[in-house]
Amino acid sequence: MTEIDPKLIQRVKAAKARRLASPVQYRDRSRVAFVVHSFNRLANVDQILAGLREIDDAELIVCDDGSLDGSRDRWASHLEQPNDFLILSNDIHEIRILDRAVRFASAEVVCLVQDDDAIPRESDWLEEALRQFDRYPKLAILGGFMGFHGFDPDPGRVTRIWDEGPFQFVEHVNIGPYFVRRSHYEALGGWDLSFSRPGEPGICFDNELCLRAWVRGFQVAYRFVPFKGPPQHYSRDGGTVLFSAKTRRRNQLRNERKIFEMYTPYARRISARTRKANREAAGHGSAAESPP
Amino acid sequence: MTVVDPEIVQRVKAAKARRKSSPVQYRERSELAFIVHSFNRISNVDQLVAGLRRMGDHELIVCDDGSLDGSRQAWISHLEQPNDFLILSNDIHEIRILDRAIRFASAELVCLVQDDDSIPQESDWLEEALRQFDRYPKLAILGGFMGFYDFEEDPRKSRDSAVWGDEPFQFVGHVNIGPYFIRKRHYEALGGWDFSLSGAGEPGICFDSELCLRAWVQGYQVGYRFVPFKGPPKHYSLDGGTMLFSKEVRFRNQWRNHTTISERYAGQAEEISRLVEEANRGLESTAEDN
Repeated sequence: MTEIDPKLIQRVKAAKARRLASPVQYRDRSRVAFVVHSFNRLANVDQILAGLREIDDAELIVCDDGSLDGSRDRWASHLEQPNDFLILSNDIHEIRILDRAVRFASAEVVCLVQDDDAIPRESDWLEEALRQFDRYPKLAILGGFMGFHGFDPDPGRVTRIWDEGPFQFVEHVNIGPYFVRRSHYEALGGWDLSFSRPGEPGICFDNELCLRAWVRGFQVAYRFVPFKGPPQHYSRDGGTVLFSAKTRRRNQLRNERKIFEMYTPYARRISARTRKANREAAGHGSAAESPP
Repeated sequence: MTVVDPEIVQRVKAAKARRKSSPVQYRERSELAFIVHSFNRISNVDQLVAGLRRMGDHELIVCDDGSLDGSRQAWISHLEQPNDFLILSNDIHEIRILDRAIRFASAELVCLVQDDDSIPQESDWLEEALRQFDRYPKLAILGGFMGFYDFEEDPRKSRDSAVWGDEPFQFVGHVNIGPYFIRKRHYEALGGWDFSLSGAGEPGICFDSELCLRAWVQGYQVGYRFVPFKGPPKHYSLDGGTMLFSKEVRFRNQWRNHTTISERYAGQAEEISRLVEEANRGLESTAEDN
C-alpha cells in the first residue's frame, strides 16, 4: 500500500469539514444541468460562469475538449461547488463529448451551452423553458437560436424563425441554447455519431435529432434566447469556423445531403405533427401559435 | 464575440493535424472501460496508469474527486489518449461519482478500480472476466476481491465467511469492490447504486454488495473470481482512503448499511441462496459437458 502524508490527511479532513458546514450542499437531482462545450475560448469563461451562477439549483458540467489556451485551468479554478464537474477530453468534438456529458448529468433537463455564448442577465428564458418541459411531457428538444418550419431541400419552402416570437412547435432547431429532456434523449439513442468523425464538427447533428424525435413520437419546439446576440445576428468566428473551416464545410454539405435522404420520406408526417402540436397547444390556451 | 488569438488558432490546427496522423485513434465502442476513483493517492498514479495501459486499448475514465495532493495534475499529464477522460469533481464520494462515470462510459463492460489498487502484470484475469461476461448474458456483476454466499448483519462476521482466494469462477450472493466489473446495460436496468447508503462526501460502505443482492432479485447474476488488486488472498491493508479520511463516518455507515441491507433482503435471502446454488450447479454441468 502506498503511504499518505499525515499532513495531507489533516488537510483533507479540514476540507471535508468545511464542505460539511457549507450552506451549499450537493443535490442529487438539480432542476437543470448546464453542459458547456469548451474549446479554446478562454476570454469567455468568466462571462459564461458568471451568467450561469446567477441561476439557482443547477448542475454545471463543463467539457473542456483539449483547450491549449489556458481554459482548462480557468475552469478548474472556478468549478468548486458540489454540483460542478469539469470533464477533460482530447479533442473528440461536440457530438461525442456532449453525448457522454448528457448521460453523465443527473438533472432531467439539460441545457447545452457553447463556449462563445453570452448568458442573458435575467433568468426568465430558463424559467420559460422549464415551464414548457413541464407542460408538454413529449417535448424532447427546445431550441433558442433558430427554429425551422418545413423540411425541404428547397430553402424557399422553409421558414426560418429567429426572433422574439412566442413559444411554438417547429420541425427542427439548432444549437444553442439547446435544451434536451434526458430521458427522451436516451430513448432516441442520442446523437447520430455518423455525422462527424472524432475531432470534426458535426454540423446538422442538432437538427437531425429533432427530426428523429418527431418521427418517434416526441416533440420539438422553439423560443428565442439571445445566446448568440440579438435576432438575425450570428458571428462567423465560432470555433468550428476558426479551427476546422474546410472540414466544417465538407461535413455540412455531406450532412445536409444525408439528412434529406434520411428524412425526406417523413417530411410531410413531421410537418403534420408539428402543425397538430401547435393547434392543440393553441386550443389549450398556451402561448403556442400556429406556424405561418 | 470574444476574440481568439491567431497564434492559438495555429497551435490548435497543428495539434489537430498531429492527432489525425497518430496511429492511436478514438474508438467509438471499446470492449471495456476502466473507471478509476481517485482521491489523494498521488504515489500510486503512475503504477495504475502503467498497469491499465498494459491491459490493452480500453477506455480509461479517471474520476478525481477533489484531491489536494497533486493527483489531478499527475492524471492530466498521463491522460492524453483519444479514449482517456479525466472527470474532476468536489468530494461527492464513490457512489455518486461512479454512478455518473458508468453512465458516461461508452463500453458495455466497466471495471471499477480504486486508487490504492495494484494492477497485476499479466492480463489473464481480465481475459477471464471478459469470457465470463460473454458466456453468461445475465451476469451483471463480477467481483475480484471478496465474494460472499450470504449477507451477514454483523460486518465482523463477513470477512470470516468470505470467498477470498484463487478458486475457479463461481456464482456468489454478493461481492465487494474491487476490481468490480459491471455490465452497463444491466446496471442501468437495475437503476444503479442506492444513494441512500451514504450522504454526498461520505463512504458508501456496502453499496457494492447491495447492488448484487438487487441483481439476483431482479433476475441477473453475480460472479466471483479472485484478482489480486488488494494484494494476495486474505490480505487487506487498512489504510484505504475511507479509513484515513473518514474513519468514524465509515464505521457508522458500515453498521447502519449492514442493518438496512439485512432487513431489506431478509425476505429474499433464501431465494437468493437458491438462485446462487442453481447457477453454480449449471456451472458444474457445463464443466462436465466440456
